[in-house]
Amino acid sequence: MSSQPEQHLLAVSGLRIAFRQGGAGVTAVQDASFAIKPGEMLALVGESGSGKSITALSLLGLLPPNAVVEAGQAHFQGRDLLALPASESRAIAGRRIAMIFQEPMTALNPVLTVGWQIGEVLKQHHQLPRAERQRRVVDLLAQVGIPDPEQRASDYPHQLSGGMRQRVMIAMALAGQPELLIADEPTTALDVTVQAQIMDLLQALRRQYGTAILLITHNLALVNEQADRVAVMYAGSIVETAGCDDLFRRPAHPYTRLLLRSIPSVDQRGQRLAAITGSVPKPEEAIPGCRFAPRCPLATPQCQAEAPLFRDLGHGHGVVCHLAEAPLPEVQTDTAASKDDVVLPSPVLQVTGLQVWFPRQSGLLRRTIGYVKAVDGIDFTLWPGETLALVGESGCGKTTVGKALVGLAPVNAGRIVVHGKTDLTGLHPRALRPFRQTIQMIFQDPFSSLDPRLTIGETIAEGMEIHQPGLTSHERQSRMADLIAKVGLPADALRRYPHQFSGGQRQRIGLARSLAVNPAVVICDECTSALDVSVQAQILNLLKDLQHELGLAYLFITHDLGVVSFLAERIAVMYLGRIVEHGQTAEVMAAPRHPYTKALLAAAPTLDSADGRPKLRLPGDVPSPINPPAGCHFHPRCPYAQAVCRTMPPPSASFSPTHSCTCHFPVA
Amino acid sequence: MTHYLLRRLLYLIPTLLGVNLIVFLLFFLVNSPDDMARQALGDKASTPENVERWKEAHGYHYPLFINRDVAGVARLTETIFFRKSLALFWGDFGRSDMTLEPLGAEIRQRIAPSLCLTTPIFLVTLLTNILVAMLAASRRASRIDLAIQLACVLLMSVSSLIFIIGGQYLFAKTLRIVPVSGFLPGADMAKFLLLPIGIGVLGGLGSGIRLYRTFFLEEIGKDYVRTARAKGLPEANVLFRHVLKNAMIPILANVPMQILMLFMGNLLLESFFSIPGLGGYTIMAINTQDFAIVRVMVFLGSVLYMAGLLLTDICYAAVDPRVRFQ
Amino acid sequence: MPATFFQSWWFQNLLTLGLLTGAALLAWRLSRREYWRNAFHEICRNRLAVISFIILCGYGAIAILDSVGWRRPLRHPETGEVARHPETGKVILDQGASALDYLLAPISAKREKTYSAPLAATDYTPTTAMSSTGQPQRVHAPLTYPRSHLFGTDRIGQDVFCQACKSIRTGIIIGLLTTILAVPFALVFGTAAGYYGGWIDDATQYVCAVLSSIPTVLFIAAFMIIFGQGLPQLALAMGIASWTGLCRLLRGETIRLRETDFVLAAKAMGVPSWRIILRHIVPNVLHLILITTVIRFSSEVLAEAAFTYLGIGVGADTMSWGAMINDARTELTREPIIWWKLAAAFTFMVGLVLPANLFGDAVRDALDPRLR
Repeated sequence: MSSQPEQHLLAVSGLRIAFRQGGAGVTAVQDASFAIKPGEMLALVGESGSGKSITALSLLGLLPPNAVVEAGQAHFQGRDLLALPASESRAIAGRRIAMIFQEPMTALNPVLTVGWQIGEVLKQHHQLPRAERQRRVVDLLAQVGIPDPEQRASDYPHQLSGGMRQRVMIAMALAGQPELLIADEPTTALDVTVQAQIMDLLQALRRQYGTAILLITHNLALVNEQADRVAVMYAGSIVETAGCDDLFRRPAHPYTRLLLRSIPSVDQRGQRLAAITGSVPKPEEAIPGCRFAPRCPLATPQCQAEAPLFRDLGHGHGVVCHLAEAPLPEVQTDTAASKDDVVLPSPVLQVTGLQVWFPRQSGLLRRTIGYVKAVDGIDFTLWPGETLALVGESGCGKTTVGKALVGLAPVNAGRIVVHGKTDLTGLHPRALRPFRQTIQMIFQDPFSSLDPRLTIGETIAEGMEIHQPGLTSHERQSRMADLIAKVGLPADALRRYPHQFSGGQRQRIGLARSLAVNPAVVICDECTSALDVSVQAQILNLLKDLQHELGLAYLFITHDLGVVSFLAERIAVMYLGRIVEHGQTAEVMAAPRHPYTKALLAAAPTLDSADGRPKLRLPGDVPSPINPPAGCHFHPRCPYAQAVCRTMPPPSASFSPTHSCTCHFPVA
Repeated sequence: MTHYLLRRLLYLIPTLLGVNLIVFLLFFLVNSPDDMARQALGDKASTPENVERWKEAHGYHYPLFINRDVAGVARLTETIFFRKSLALFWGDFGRSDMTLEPLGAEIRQRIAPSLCLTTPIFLVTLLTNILVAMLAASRRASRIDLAIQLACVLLMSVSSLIFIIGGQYLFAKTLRIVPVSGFLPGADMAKFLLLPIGIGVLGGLGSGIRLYRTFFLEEIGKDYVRTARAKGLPEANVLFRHVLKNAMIPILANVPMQILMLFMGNLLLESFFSIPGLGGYTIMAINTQDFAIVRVMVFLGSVLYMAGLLLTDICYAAVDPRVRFQ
Repeated sequence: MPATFFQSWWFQNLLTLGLLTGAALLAWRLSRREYWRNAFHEICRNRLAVISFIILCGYGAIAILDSVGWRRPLRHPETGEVARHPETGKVILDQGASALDYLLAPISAKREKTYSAPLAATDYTPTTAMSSTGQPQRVHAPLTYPRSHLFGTDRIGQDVFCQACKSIRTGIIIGLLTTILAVPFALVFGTAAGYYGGWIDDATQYVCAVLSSIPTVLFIAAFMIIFGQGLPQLALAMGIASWTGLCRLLRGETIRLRETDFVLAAKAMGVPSWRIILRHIVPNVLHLILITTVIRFSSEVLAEAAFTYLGIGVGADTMSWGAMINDARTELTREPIIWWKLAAAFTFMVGLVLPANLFGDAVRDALDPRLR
């Protein structure tokens, strides 16, 4: 780093943080150094356990009680933040350096009004009188784009939507007029259209006040679009720092290079993703030498023996690696032809007019006063061996569709026909049981999807006991051994318990449980969104392999358009319980017809340069399905809405045999 | 919020009816009026005539549910269920089985001393628990925290009987700071109540502090505390403005449990310190096998408990906006 | 079967054996599950918990010894000859006694005339006797068995240590049986209400609300005044009064588990409800039951003493610490005071309750780290 400390707002050097566990210390951050200039946005990016959040927390003295800063300095305006006494540290926190957090619901105090919580900063750091304070609070709320700021100031956090809460957090951070804003995963808990709003807001404020931003995130695409400089962290160390362009065009560290290749996008269709083997090491794992060496395809004996030192590559680009320039092995491409235009046999699953309404009860007697129309009449068909992606933001009903298909949510109306013969709706639970094996589901959270008290073997065997009661115990054992090998786990896994496996491995186990009953359709409910990017790539590859081998049909429920474009043949976009656009992935991605789809695509950050893409920003949040807008559900947020949209439900329009959308005014 | 409180209030009615039914089952079906009469008269005097006479004198000569000897509404009202059980709802407590004195006046007289004893115990315990638990939680794993936890385990391991006997012996007999027992209304009350209140508080501290400490620890670990610290607030502000208000939610949810514990303490303290309250009255009734008094006390106990419950609900709504805006 | 069977030693020995076998079977089943093995190792690392457990085992052993017993042939007090029925020639048996009684016999047989202080050699209160010179004087007469009563003797000269030992069984039975009686009801109703919801839940909630709104001590007062004092009655009453708390706890946990992905996965697989409850719900709430049992144990022991003192406990026929404290209360007003009965009850109670509290904390921390 060409270090000129006087230019830097914040210069961190040689930071080492350790956790005390029992008697021993576990190093969570090792020798981290980075610097931010005034008004700059530096992104600290890394997967889970890389130590990026801990690094940020240490700057404000917010470390958990069992974590200790063991070495290093953090120079901020001529003072070392890490050596300040508590009282001086408090004078900086909230005033000179403010922080916003990932989960705006839990980060705000639920029993205090948002106005009070913002005013508290003004009282603490600016000693403003009460009336002045209230005026400033309303100003701040207006500034972060909250409509009706006078009223909202007396609201409690639970009365606001997720996006609004994050705006309140930003208002709270701005209240002190800080020089540096630390944003710890500020948009991870938000929908992609809201994420775009929040990032726009942060950028606008940065321009207006010249506030430097330390953005902490795991999302490389977001970094690509937003940051000026990037520091990549892996397992507690910063492995590469560079300007944003440099890093994404000329990544030097093998980890960075592999990570960029493991992000699914439309370019990798028909290929395997460059998954990094294994998973991110836990801090307590002792790894001599380079901490990435065990997963690095280039690793030499030198890497395993000695830790690499920082190397300056010029232009502010630095890397911590012995073999930064060595070429990476090529990814094997899929030999199987793309199935986009293969003639398909009869459909395995036909869904028509599916409705899932949950009754709403109120009053003293808990009478039903209305319905939450979580799924409000959707149709789709699934053929063997293909993947249909169901895309939408939170609350659009996509997960409910999945649950309805496997009988976990009550179906109001509609038909779910499997193999063109049997309609599953209205079947008695006992009559339904034999058909349960046809449709299976993989869940989002790998940590709650396996019973902690049962061995992996018992978990996988459960479905076989129900659906293949004729199997002898020996047959069952050998079949389970096959399955566990098929999903890429060692044979002794069957006797072990869930807590001994990592998140990615647990998703493999969940897959094995589903496959045990020979399903024709597997519903993947956000099944990779809780995983690190490098592990997600492994699971996506596995899903593809299994589809080829077993001819499975996937209903892939997700909010991640990158995953969709990589994996799915067809895509259905949902908004408030209805499918608004439906078509071949290529068609929809290239030429979205529904304004919502268009906005969704525009809002999702990608690794390609962002300049060429149209900016289409949606105002507001997804409305509640309790009381959906009349006419077209989308009209309050639609930039093209006309009078007819407010009253009439839109008709369906077809653009090709496969591509259709429901809109009064489809985008050309 | 009004909906919430109204629903809580309405739920009390079926609950109290259930309590009433249980009381009736225990006192009149399991143990019939004939049994009562025989117990009161003793084996020798229990001739059928004496039993009938005793029942007549005490108002137990009606049928249990339906009186077929009379007509109209009286079929239902001239019954034990109506006169002895449902009547409790409108404050008709009947007469003592032993002395035939009306219970209503006696109970009204005894409510005040009982409340004078238990209300301070409740409030002082609550306040001490909150303060000490907050101290322990904010200094987690320090020496102060460990000392408090140790003290709590020791307090929890000693029977309240020992506290009472030991306290009486030390403060009243040996040091002669307070009288051993007794009660006077008015200003003298403090002198008599000081020791029982102190002992009552001591008995509730151990488990209370430990429980509240976990509540505070839970809250201190939450994200909003990190936000408050990131604002640069002094630790005292973080604890008293942010943590305390949130911790009051589980603390209030636990108050009904504490009210139930008060009944136990009340019985013991009133009997040891000869305080003329409801607890002492219950003990007397148990010793004289006076079913009527015990029956009334069980019902009254649940009414008092539910009144406390309703108060808690109001406080709950006041503290938690999520309940208020339901 | 005759009612006397239930009062016979046969029945009591069988019951003890049955309970012990059940406990051993449960321990064996659990020891095969890794979760429980890990928890066990975690507890073993806590030295205080291990010491507490050893003390608890000591108490437990005494309680077991006091729960098994047999009858012996009646012997002639002087000749030692076995008494026989004059007509049938059958050996006549005595009332029988527990194994603990036989063990304590050497001590309990040493009867004094009245009070004596712990390990004293002479009477506590002086008596008037003629001295060798013929003058009447106040002397402390020597005891029949000097320095052999660890906790002294009571008004009628019985050894207080033996009484305190005999009270152990009462305390432990109340401490354990109360929760054991509550578990089946709480488990069945709690999991069913939580899993099925609907009217089952409403009904269970209503019953719980009604039962828990009667203050425990008043409910027990009513129960005991009607059914009479005694150990089984008290355990039953305390069980009824306390099952609602556990039931609500299990209901809440079941509702949480019902929505977890592994239960949803089993449902999607078509596993029947009863099987999901048995296979997924119950094993995942078992630790809560165990935690409740050990945490409650000590407070139930303390409550028994208070109830017995209030006259709504195990009654005068059964030895218990509450009864001892009740006796001691009047003794404390004498001059000079008789303090050792209270001291014995206090020591024995703290000796049981303190280790129980410490062990309970260790069990809770090992099984559910969230609650730490």
